[in-house]
Amino acid sequence: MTTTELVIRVNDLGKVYRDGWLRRRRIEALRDVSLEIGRGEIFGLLGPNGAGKTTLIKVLLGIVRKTAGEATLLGYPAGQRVGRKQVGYLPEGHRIPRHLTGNSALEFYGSLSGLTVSETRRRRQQLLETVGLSEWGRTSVTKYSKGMLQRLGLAQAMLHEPNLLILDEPTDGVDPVGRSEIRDVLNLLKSQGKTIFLNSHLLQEVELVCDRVAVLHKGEVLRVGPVEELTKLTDAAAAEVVLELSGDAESINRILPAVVVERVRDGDRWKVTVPALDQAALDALVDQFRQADVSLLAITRRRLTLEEAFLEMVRTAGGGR
Amino acid sequence: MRAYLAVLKDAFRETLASKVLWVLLILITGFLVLFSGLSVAPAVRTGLDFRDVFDWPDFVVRLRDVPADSPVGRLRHRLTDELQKQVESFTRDGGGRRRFLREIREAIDSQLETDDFATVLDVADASLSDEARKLKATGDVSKQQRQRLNRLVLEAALPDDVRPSPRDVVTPTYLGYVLFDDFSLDDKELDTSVKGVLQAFIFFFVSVLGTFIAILVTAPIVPRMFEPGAIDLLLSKPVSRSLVFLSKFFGGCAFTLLNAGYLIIGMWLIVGWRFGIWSDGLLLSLPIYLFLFVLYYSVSAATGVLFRGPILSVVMVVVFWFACFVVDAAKSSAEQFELNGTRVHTIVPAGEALLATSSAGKTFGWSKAAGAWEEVFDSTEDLQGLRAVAVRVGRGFPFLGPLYDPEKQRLVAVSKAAPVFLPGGGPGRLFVAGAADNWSRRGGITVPLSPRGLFLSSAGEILVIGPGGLFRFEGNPEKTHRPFKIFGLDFGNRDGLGKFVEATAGKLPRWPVPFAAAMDPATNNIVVYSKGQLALLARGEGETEQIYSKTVSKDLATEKAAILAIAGDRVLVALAEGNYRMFDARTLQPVDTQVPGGPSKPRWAAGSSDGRFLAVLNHTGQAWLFDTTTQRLVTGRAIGGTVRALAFTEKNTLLVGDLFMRINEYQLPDLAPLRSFDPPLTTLQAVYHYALLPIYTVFPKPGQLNAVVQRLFEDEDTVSVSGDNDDLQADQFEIDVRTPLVSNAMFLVVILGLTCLYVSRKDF
Repeated sequence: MTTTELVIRVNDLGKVYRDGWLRRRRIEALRDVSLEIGRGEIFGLLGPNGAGKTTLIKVLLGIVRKTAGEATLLGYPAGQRVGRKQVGYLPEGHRIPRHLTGNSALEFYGSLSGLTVSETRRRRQQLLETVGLSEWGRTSVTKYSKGMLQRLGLAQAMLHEPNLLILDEPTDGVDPVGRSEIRDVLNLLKSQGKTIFLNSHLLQEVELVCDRVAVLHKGEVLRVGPVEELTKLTDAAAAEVVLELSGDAESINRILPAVVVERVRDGDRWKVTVPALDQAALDALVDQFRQADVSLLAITRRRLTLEEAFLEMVRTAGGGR
Repeated sequence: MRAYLAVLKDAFRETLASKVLWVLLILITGFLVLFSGLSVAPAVRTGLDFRDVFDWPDFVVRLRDVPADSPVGRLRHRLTDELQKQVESFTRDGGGRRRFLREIREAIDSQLETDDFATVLDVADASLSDEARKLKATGDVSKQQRQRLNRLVLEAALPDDVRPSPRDVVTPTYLGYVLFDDFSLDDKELDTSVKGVLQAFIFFFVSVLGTFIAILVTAPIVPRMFEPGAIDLLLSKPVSRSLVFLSKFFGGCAFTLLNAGYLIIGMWLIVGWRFGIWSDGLLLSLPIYLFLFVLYYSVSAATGVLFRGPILSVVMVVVFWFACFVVDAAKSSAEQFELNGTRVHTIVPAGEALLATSSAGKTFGWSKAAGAWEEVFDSTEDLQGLRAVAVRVGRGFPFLGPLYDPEKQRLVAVSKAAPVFLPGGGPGRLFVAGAADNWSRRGGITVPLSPRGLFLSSAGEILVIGPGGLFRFEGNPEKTHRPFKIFGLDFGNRDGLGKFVEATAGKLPRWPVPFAAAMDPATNNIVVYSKGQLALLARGEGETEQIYSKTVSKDLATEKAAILAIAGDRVLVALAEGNYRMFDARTLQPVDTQVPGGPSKPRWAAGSSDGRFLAVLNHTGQAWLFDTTTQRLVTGRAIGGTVRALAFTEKNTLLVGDLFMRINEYQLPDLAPLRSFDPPLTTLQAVYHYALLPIYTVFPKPGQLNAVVQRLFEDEDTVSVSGDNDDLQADQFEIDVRTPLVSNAMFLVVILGLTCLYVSRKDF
């Protein structure tokens, strides 16, 4: 990935909050955080509460000042207005002023993003349809449910067609159907070449849409990489093998190794998990089944779910929160 | 720019979403509808009120002295026997007059309602006004017209005592119904009354109540903007934090703009439509009151940014208001109750001694031994405590003079007359005090008019002048009449008492106000200014030496008040509008005009003993010194700051009094310092000077913005404490427009600047 393709670049970033009387208490929210996110990626940021995810986003947007390191957004130092012009942001628990309607809210945020009112008016109906609020534009936001407010927030973030979307818990309070629709929107944006920086607690969501993820814990980055890489078990030898077989029970029981992790039988179909095997041992096992006329329906090495991988990483790093 | 306009517009939209705004707009509409019913209708002035007579004791004296077969004599004859007896025994300095004067007024007022009043008085047609003649010629007149004729006949019978009543007067009405019987106003009175009522109304409903409601309603706007979730979204946009805050702040002012604008512009239109008064002051008060709100709102917004809570914002505004009020009240109380009274008002060089009077009317002599002022010319008759303060507030400096008579080595002063109905009111009195007995006050002879000038001729004669005439004192001024009363009648011994006699050849017509006079020390001639007319009263020669007669007059084509001074062959007429015109002292031909800059009204003017310099001191403390030889102004640090008093000495040096009782003597014309009379500060003066004044200077002054509105209504930079703007010598308080505007603008810039700095550096 060349530097020019980088949308977000964070290098040894640090942020210390000061609190209490005379501001003597130090709270280290970010420590030596380094990340690179390329154009067109959907990047997920994971971490338990208090890990520093929102602080990282706020530093990138200039809402909070960094205390160490470097951060650039679309090639500009983080916090510069010119960089923010090309960013759409949906904060967690955002509040849209209660005196606005869906339409006037989009007009307001569109103007703040540099759009003329006529440009906003031209785009907003399509946008409201995209987020499923086409019938609600004239309604006061006081009448909106939490999910509807979330959709409106997403619409305002997309309004000025930014190159980068930073979404903090975009599916918070949204029902499963709505979540699926938002996933579709994100995939649509990706197909348009937009970069999406996603911060979510819902790991299944992240697993479903993100190309790469970073795990943040106590202000430090534990891992960064593609989802497959993070969910791949680190020791290949330790990877269990799942065999789906069809054939004579006696032959199968004879050929299987002495130690079997799990054995499930459904008629003449078997699903057997055996402990880690190296490739030679696995080849030999396959040969034996073939010679005994046992059909091999599937052979897979088992992967971790993202949630399992995340919990494992956090446990290894020392504690949950 | 688009982004900030959007924030501004959003704040407007937030305001329009407020139910309180709509409730207030409905209330204001209701008020304006009710207010539009008020109007005026033409009326005629009849009857006799207290304010219709220039000087009631003078009036009664005239009633007492006229022959029985004159019109006024016939009027006296129509009074009850008891009142006639009281009139006959009336003296200017007698007691028990208040009740008697009230009875006289009521008796004449009821006479004016009678059908045969005009016939019985039988005033010659030549003396009557055109209006009276027309009414008289109309045979069949209504009751109201007859009463009007009676009033005009009374004015013609007593032209020096009864004020001429205007022909065109109006009376207030509501939906066509007359509100008050026997109440009418002329154009000027209507203008003053309407503006006074408007001022009081908008002060309470816009400045006090309106601002408070606006603060309550707008307090949540800024904290709401800084709520988590709202501020993140706002700051993620490509906008400047400071400008977003300022846009929100000024957008929040929309509430006040809409309400105050609607009320004030509505009232302006109604007052213009119903009363014919298009008051610029009312219209211009709108930006001033908006500024007042912006000032308080800046405190609310700054608190909102810091603590993110609307309740705390309101509390802080109240605390801020209270702090400003306390600082302002502490300063004004210290000034009003103590310090103003101790400020130098007049400097009196008295031979080797130096005397000075304070604004409270106390006279002090400089003690070389003590290096301080010591009170002289004291009197136990003076009012004390709060009553003294009330009189000072109502009347100002209580004396004409004192003047120093080098021949007899004594001070001469005349206490000012005040209406007998006011506290401490009564006729003016003449006092003297000799250097020999440490300037102890003696005398107390009653002065026969409301004096506006006190002069000492080169021969030491005491002359007093006022709109009612010119009088010379004869006799010993130190001797006082001691009343000896039996059944209310005074049998005290009056033998040997001094008295005032008319010093003009025959009775001159009453001089209309504004009035001023000055004596030429070289010729003892007197120059009189009366409502734009300048007249020279020349002193006679030989047997008529003590008689003055009018020789030359000049129309100055103005009706402004003025102060006069004479130096050498020049008469200076310092007009209230701020231009100083000079005339030849013998011919009254114009010589020169100087415009010193600014419309400040003059308070005092004098010429130097050698006739070379003319000095003017105005009510805002600026001094003007003119050298008649070089035709140039004399300038220097000595008179560049705030000057409280000026005086020329016999040796032609200049004495300058600044704040408190500090006086410096300077050589002329180079203003080189000669001597200083610098008393130590009292504790209160020191506290005021070193603590109260610096705090007041740096503190914002929101309350003073009401004075700016008053200035807009008054169109004057100083206003007479007694309400008589025609008397420039009377105390006037300065309406300081610049200080509150500058001080409050600076506070606003500082508080908004600090808030912007905080907003731009804060992690949200």
